[in-house]
Amino acid sequence: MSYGLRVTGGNSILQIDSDTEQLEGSAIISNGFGSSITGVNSSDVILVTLDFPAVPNGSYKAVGVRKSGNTWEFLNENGAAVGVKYIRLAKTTAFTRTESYGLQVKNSSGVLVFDSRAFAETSAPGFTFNTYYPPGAFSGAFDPVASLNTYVSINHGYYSDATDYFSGLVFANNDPEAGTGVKFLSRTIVFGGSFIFLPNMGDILEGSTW
Amino acid sequence: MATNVWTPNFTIGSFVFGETFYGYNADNGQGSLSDYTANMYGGAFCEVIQWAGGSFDKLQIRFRGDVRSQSLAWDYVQIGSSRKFYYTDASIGYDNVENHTLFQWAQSTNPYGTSGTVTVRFRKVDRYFYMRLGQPTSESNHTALNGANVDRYDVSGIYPAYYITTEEGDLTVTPTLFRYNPDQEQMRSETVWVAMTSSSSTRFDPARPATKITFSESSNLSQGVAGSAFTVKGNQINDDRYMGVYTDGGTGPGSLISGRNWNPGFPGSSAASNTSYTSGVLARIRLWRISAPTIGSVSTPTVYDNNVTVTINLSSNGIGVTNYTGGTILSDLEYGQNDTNTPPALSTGGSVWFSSPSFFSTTRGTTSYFFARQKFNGQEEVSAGFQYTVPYLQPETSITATYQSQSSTTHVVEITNNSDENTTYIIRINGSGNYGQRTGNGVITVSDLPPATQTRTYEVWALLLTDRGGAGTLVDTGVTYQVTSSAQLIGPDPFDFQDVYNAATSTTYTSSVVLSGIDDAALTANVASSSNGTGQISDDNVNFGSTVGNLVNGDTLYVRATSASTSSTTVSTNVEVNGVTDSFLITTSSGGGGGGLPGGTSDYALKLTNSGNSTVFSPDYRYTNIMAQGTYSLAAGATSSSITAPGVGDPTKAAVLLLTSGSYTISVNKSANSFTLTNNDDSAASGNYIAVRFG
Repeated sequence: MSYGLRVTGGNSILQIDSDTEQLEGSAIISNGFGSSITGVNSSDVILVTLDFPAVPNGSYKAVGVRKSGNTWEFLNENGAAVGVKYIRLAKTTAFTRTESYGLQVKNSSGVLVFDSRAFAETSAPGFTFNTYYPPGAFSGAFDPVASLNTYVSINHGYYSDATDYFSGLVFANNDPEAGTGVKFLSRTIVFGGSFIFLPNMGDILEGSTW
Repeated sequence: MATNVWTPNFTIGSFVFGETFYGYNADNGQGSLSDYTANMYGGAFCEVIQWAGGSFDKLQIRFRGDVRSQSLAWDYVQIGSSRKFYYTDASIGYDNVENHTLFQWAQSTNPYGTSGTVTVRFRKVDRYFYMRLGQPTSESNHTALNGANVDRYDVSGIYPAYYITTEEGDLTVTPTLFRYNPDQEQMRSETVWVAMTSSSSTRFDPARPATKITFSESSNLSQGVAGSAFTVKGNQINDDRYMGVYTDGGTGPGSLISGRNWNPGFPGSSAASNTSYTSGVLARIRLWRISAPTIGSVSTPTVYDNNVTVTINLSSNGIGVTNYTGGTILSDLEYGQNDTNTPPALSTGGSVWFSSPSFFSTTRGTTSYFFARQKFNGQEEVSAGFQYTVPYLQPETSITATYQSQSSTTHVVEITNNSDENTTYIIRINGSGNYGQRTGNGVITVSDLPPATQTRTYEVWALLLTDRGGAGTLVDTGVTYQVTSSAQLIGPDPFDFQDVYNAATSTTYTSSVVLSGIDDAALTANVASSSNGTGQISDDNVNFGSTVGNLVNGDTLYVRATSASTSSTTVSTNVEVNGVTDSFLITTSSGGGGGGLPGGTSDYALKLTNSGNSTVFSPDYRYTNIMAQGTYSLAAGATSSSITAPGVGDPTKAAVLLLTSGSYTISVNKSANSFTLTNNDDSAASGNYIAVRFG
């Protein structure tokens, strides 16, 4: 690199590289609790979670997604709305910035790839991924992903009443079928009413705020 | 009892002078006893013939009758060696009469009298005696008893007499003679001299000096009170004489104390002219010095009040004054109290000194000094101060506490067997707190209950309030009882240890949860099972074992286990807390499995903070970059063109998220810096993808 800014953290983790045009930084643009999110861009990473109080003992809650434009609805396997704790991770360029201080980094194309002011948008400044699950890591039948109250990506989420296809996450609390924790569930109904479970096609990420 | 007490006159007998009386040689005049007896003309005998033990200090024989003769000088009555001249009536006294003392009289020739009566009386007679009266049978046998009357006169105990007496003449002596010496505690004596001087030529009988001293305060005679006046009585003073009382001059009278003249008148004997005679008289003055009493103890009654009366108990009354009957005079014993070890002002009565028995009102816990004193005739002797603090009453601790019942938050205990209804009982735990109380016997509702299924020991403390005479401090009765809660354990809420996937082999991983939903009872966690035996738990992340106790809300419970030595193997550690379980899973990585991303740790590189000084960018964090996003639309079995995403081939650095939009199967084919998508379904598929970089 003959110019620009490249920042690596511990363990040589790449954090900022203005010389790589494909890298555009991200931050938490919104978070909260609800059964839907609006203004979702196609480049946003959505992560959800639930904790014990939201999941009664001996039960589970399934969370799938029905996407309508920029609105995402969180539905269970029966199509009912489900409130979840969510995080919306968006590109730095999506943020509205007013402060006159901080650090901005642009790449060679003039695209803003880092803006420290973005971290003040929400109560949780940043988000980091802790664990990854590559495609095919899960069978789709309540595969354990993480502990409850852990944010797991749900970009793969899907709900279709018409096709009886559900893909998402299950938050279970001593449930006889799902057990306890965050599970991966992806299934569809075939003739005879039986389920066919489907593996994860893309990566599943689990992380936490800082 | 009066001191000068004589017995009544006992008539010994009477007689008639007759021819049997022998004549007397008048020319012989006065002479020796033998001479008298040898020449007496008539007479009678009165003889004390027996004493039955005891004695008297004076015998008086009195003759009454007409025995006048021609010559006064030669008519007489004689008892023993004591003679008295007389006319018609005479009496003489005689001390220390012994058995067979002869009573006789002599009479001159041609007596006038024809008859007479002999009487006797005694002092200090404590036994009986016999006397008889007789007449001489011949001139030479005048001692023989003839026709004697023998009578017994028993005066035992009837007429006690203590001191000598005289019959006439009083002389008051200056009281300063007897000096009081307070340093002397024993009886002391003073000697005075009584001198009688004849101022005329009348006769004076030296054998009968003044022999009696009578104190004017007769009741205090034996006490010899200092300064008391006393009286000297002369005996047989029958002429114009002067009698004085003199100080002890050693061998004779010293200085004149007091004196007087008197003339008892006719008849009487007379001494030679200007004859003086002195007689030593021992006046035994008993002077007792009083001494202070000794306080042996001070006591208080058991009264349930802060203010109580105290009683002073003497261990010794001190030495008082013994009266003549042997008793002790302590009429002036008094008691005092003071805040300091100084007796109240002496000679002050009223509210300061109280007569016996004495009571003082004192506040418990207050130290006072108590005194006792004895007063007598101006002398005061006070005891040493007796320090005494009225003790507090102690609460009754001999009780029984019996558990009765319990509710959800309280229990009931009954207090029995205490002997008083003044003690307050308080229920405590480990010597502190007040969970319920009552006074006296009865039940107490205790505002405490041990946690579910647990047993707690309660202590009964006792308290006697100050207004009931106590110190107002809590006292452990030593009585305890136990209560076991019948409530069930509640909690915890379900918990979930964060499992580890894509773990390294043979590596120890730790996870933790914060426990919630636990009721007031502490719970215990156990390792219910461990698939490879390495599972352990801890509440401090330091000390691990199979059990952790005393877990309450908010406690963090840690679990750790060692991953398997082979890939794609799960190690399970099942942790149980009051029936709630969770398995901590550690799954080693495989080719298709997920994996944990190592965090960054460095003290260099870029660190940013926001205006609130919160770190927003740090080398410790993974920062997420969006590398690529887009849509795909693939026919059945089609593969997309390559999509650039630097590092996507390394799952620890990048990932591809597919946004599902239908029921189909898409596979992601990653290479070093790009990926492709393949539709594995038998129909077309479309959707979105996002490639993120986090490492």
